[in-house]
Amino acid sequence: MSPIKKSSLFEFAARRARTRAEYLGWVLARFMEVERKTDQELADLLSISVYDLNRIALCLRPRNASFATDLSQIARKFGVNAVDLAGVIRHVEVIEGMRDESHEESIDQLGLMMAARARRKKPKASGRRKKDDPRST
Amino acid sequence: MAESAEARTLLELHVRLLDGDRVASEDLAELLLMPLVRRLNRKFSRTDVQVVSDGVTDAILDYCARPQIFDPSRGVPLNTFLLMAGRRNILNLIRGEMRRKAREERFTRVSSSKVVELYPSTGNTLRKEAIKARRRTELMQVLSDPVDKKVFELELKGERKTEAFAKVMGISGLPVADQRRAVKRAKDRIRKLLERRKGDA
Repeated sequence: MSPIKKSSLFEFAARRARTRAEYLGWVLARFMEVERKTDQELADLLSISVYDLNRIALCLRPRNASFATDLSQIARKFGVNAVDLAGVIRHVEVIEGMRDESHEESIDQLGLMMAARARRKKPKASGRRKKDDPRST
Repeated sequence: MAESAEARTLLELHVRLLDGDRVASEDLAELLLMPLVRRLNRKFSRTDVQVVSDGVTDAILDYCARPQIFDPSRGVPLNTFLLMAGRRNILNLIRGEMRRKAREERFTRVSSSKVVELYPSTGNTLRKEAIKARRRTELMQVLSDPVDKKVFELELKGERKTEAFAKVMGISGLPVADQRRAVKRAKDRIRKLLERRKGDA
């Protein structure tokens, strides 16, 4: 059995956290995706090591109701600039908000399109009936 | 003593998570990720360490996102609770992987059988070719004369031109009619030789 490295475990764990919206890992992954940045580039942006970036990924996302307190707690623990980290989080939140809006709009538009769609006319039972209909005369 | 200290630390972390502490999840991972992965890696010694790590990580992340799922009043320590959850996750990951492999194998079997259906003669053609090649080698061994071998090779290749046979026989200088006669004689002689040897066998 090969020895397990702690840094590798945190790397695996951070990758797992990237798929969970409750975690900062998810936010960091979205930022890297949108800004086309590597782990190293994001770590450089936040002036921390990649190992610490993986550890930050395991933290829970700051709550909107107590954003400043939560953010400063995270920033203090990892020695990261709170403003830089806030910038990353807000950037992702804005983009996600826009995505949600466009998604809702597309659903609304789909609703309108569904309402406006051409309906197929029901086939008439017989052509003669109209002639025979007393209302037609 | 050490166990009770660890239990106290874990209980404190549990309370911090319930209070909404944002960094408690990382503290918990720092404390438990490595020992839990090591323990389960011993248990699942034939499983990739990344799968073990994923199972344990999922257990920790699930719990930290919803710490209410752990009830300390039940008397099960938090590390044991997470160990059991990690074990279950690993088993699920292994089962999922086995299902995926089985699906892939089934797909491969189905698609290869479809290839046979599309080209039913492929297998037979290959087999026939192999038999033909073997027989050719056997017959070639019967012929001792190198010129006869060359003539027979040309015949097998489907060559019909007299001049090609005359060339390997070294009689290109003869008049065409003589070439034709000599080639026919050689072919007949080889055929009879092979038939006789076949009859002997």
